[in-house]
Amino acid sequence: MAELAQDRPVSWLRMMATLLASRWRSQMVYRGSMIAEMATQGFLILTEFLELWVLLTHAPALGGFSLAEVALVYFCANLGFAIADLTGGSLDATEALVREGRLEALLVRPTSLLVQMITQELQLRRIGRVVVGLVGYPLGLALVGIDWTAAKVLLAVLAPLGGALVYFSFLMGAGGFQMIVVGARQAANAITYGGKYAGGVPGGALFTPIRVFFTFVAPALFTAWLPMAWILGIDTPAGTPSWLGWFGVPAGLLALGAATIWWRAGLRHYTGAGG
Amino acid sequence: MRATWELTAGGFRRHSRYRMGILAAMVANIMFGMIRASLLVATIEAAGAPVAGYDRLTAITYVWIGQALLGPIDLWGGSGWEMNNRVKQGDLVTDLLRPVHPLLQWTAQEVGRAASQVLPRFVPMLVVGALLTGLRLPTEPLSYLLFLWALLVAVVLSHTAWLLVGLLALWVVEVRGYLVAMMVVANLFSGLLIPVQWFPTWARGVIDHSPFRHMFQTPIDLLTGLADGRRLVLLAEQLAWALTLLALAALVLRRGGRKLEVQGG
Amino acid sequence: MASNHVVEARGLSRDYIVHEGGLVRRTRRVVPALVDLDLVITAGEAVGYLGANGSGKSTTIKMLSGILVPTRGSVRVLGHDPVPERRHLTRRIGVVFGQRSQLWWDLPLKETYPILAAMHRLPGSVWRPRWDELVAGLELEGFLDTPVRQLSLGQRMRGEVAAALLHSPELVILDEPTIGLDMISKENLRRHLDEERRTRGTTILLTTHDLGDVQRLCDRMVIIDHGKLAFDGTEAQLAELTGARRMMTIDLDTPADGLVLPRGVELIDTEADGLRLNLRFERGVSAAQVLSAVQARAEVRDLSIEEPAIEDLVRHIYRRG
Repeated sequence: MAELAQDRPVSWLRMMATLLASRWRSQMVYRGSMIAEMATQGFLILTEFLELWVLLTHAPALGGFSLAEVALVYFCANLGFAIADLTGGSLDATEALVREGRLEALLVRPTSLLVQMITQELQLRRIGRVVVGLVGYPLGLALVGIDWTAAKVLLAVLAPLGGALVYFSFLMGAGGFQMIVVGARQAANAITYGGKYAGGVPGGALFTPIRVFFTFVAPALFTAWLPMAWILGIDTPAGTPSWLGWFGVPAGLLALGAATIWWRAGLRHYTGAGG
Repeated sequence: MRATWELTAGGFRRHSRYRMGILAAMVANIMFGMIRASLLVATIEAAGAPVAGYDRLTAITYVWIGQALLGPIDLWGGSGWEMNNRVKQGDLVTDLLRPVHPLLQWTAQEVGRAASQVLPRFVPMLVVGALLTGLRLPTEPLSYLLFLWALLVAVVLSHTAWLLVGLLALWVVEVRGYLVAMMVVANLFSGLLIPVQWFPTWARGVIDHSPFRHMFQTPIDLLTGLADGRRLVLLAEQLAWALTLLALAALVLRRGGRKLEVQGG
Repeated sequence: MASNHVVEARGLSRDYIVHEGGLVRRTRRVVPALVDLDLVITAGEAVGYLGANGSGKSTTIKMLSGILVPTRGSVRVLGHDPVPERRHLTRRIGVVFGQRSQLWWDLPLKETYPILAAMHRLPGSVWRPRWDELVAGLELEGFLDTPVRQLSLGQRMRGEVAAALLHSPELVILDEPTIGLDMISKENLRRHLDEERRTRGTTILLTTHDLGDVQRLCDRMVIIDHGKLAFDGTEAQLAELTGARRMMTIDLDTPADGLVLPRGVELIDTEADGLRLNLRFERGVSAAQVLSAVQARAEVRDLSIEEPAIEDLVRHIYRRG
C-alpha cells in the first residue's frame, strides 16, 4: 500500500480544519455549561485586575502609570495571553501526558505532536478571555485619552500580536521543558504564568533584576508595558527604553525559535530516555 | 490517640517524597514572590509613606512568609478536588466505615502533610527571601509560638473549608465550578495577593472577619507584627471559625453518610 | 536491508537508567531491558512475540515504532530507521497498544475515523470504502454511536484495531491486544487479523501472553526471557527443542499382559482396570511405534493423541533461561 503514503490529496489546511472542527464538536456537547465556563473565564480577567486596583487606592501611580494606564497595560497583556492560551494553552500540559503514558499513543500518529496537542486538547472556554480582552483593550485605549498618530495606531495593533507570540512561546517552551525534567512543571510556571503576571503590570514597578529578566531573557515586558509606555509617552527606567516596544513581534519570533528548540529537545529526551 | 498519630505520620511520609516537585514549586514561588514584593514596594514608594501599617521591609516580609506558607497551607483546594474524587469514585464509603471518625482521619493526614512541608519548603523559602531581599522577623520567642499555633489552625481551617466544598459532590453533579469560584475568592480575600489590611475601608469589615483571612493572613500577621495589640482576639476568632467549620463538616458528613446508605454508596 | 524484510533488527539493545535513593544518597543503576536482539520479519509473516512481564516485549515494540531510541544495535522497519523517521514510518505501520487507547475518549466511536483519516491525509474516496470493510469485518455497527469511554473492552479493542488498519498499513504491531477480552471478542479479533494478512499480505507482529493468539494467528514464535532472545521458530520446533513429550491414551478390549515399551515411552497410569492406558512418549519416538508396541500385547479399540500444551513448552524455555 506504498502508493497511499505518497498520494496526499488532502491538504494540510483541510486536515487542520477537520481536526479543529471535531474538537469544537466534542467541546460543545454540553452547550450551556460551555458558555458558562467561557463567561467565567472572562470574568476571571476582571477579578484578577482587582489586585492592581486595590494597590492603586493607596498610591497615585504604579511605576509611573495611573490607574487607567495600568488597566490599559493589564488588558493589552491579557489579550495577548488569551490568544496564546487559546491556541497553545494545552502545550504546557505535556507532563500529564508523560505521567499517564498517553504520549506514546500520540507519537505513533502521522501528525506532529504539536499539531495534535493544539487541535485535540484545545480548551474552548478560553475564548471567554479573548472576548473580554477584545472588549477591554480597545475600551482602555479609548478611555485613556491618547493623541493618536498613525504610528501609535500601528503599535497599538501590533502589541497584543507580539504578546500572543511571546506567551505562546512560553507555553510551548514549558511543554518541552516538562518532557525533559519530569515533575518540574511548576518551575516552568515561573515563566509562563510569572511572565503573564509581570507582563500585565508596568515594568517600572518591578525590581530591576526581574525587569531585566523579563525583557532580555523571557520577553514578557514587550507584550504590553513597553509598547504602551511608548504610546502614552511615559518614561521608563534606564536600560529599557520604551521604543523597545516596537520590537514585540521580533522578540516574539525569537522566543518562538527558542521554544521550538526546547520542544524538539523535549521530544528527543522522551524518546531517548524511555519515558 | 495512637491511630491519630499513625495517620498524621502517614500523611507526613507520603508527602515527603516529592523532591523534584517541591523544588519546582519553590522556583515558581520565588518568581511570584519577587513580582508581588515589587508591586507592594512600588505602591509604598509612590504613596510616600507606609500603607496600612506596612513599610517597605514589612511588605517584603509579608510576601515571603506568604510564599513560604503555600507549602503547608492548602489554599488552592487540593483537599476539595480530592474530596470530589473520593465521593464520585465511592471511596468515601470506605472512609466512613473505618473505626476512626473520617473528619479526624482526614484532618490528621492533612496536618501530617502540612508538617512535612515545613522543613523542605517553609524554612528554605524564608532563607531565600532573606538572601534575595532581606526580611524582618520578630525577636520575641512568643511570636513564633503563637505563629505555629496560628499555622496549625490555619491548616485545619483551610482544609475543612475546602472539604465542605468538595462534599457538595454528594448532592451536585459538577462541583468544578464551585471549586473554581472558591479558589478565586480565597486568592483575593485570604491575603495571598494583597494584605487584607490594604483593602478599602468599606470592604475591610467583612473581609477582616471572614474565614478566608484566617486561613492565611492571620499567621503572617503574627510574624510581621501587624497583629500586635490584638493577638489573642485574632487567634480566638480564627479558632472560632475553625471549630464552626469543623462542626458544619461533621454535620454534612452525617447527612451525607445517611444519603450514601440510602443510595448504596 | 533486503527488500522484503519488514523488520530487521541486529544486536538491538536497550538499557534503562534507574535512580534510587532519597534526598541525600542517590545511586544510578543501569538496567538492561533488552540485550542483543537479532530479529528478521519478512513481508506477510505473522509473528507472535512472547515473554513474561518485564521481559523486554514492550521495549522492543517501542523501539520498532519509533518512540524509543536503542542504546546499541540497529533496527530498520520497512527500510526506515524508526526514531528519526518516525513520521514517515507511522504512515506505513499501524500500532495497537492493548493498555493505552488511541481513540478519542469523549467522542462516539465513529467520529474517531474521520479524524484519523485527516491525519493520514486520506481522501474520502480512499478511506470510506476501507472503513465500511473494517466495520463489517470487525462487526462495529452495533456501537458506532456509543462514546468510546462507555464501550466494553472487547468493543474498544475492535475499534482500536480498525483505527490501526484504516490507512491499510503494511505492518501492524499489536501490544497485548487480547488482554482481558472475552472468548468471542478474542476470536473475532484473531479472525479479522488473519483475514487481513491473507487478503492484503499485511505483516503482523503480536506481543501476547495468550498462547491461543499464537496458535490461531501466528506461524512463528519469538520468545524473550529477561531481555534476551530465548527462542525463534515454529511451535513444532519449540516442541522438539524442549524435548516435549506427547500423550497417547489407548483403550483396549482386554487388559494388556507383559507390555514391553520402547525406549522413550512411559506408562503414566492405567484406568478402568487396565482397559485404558495413558502413555507419554518423547519426540524421537513416533506414535506408530508406541501403537505397535501395545498392539503386540493387546487388542486396541481406540486411541487419542495429545500434543504438549504450548504453555508447558514455553515454561520449559523460561526454566532453561
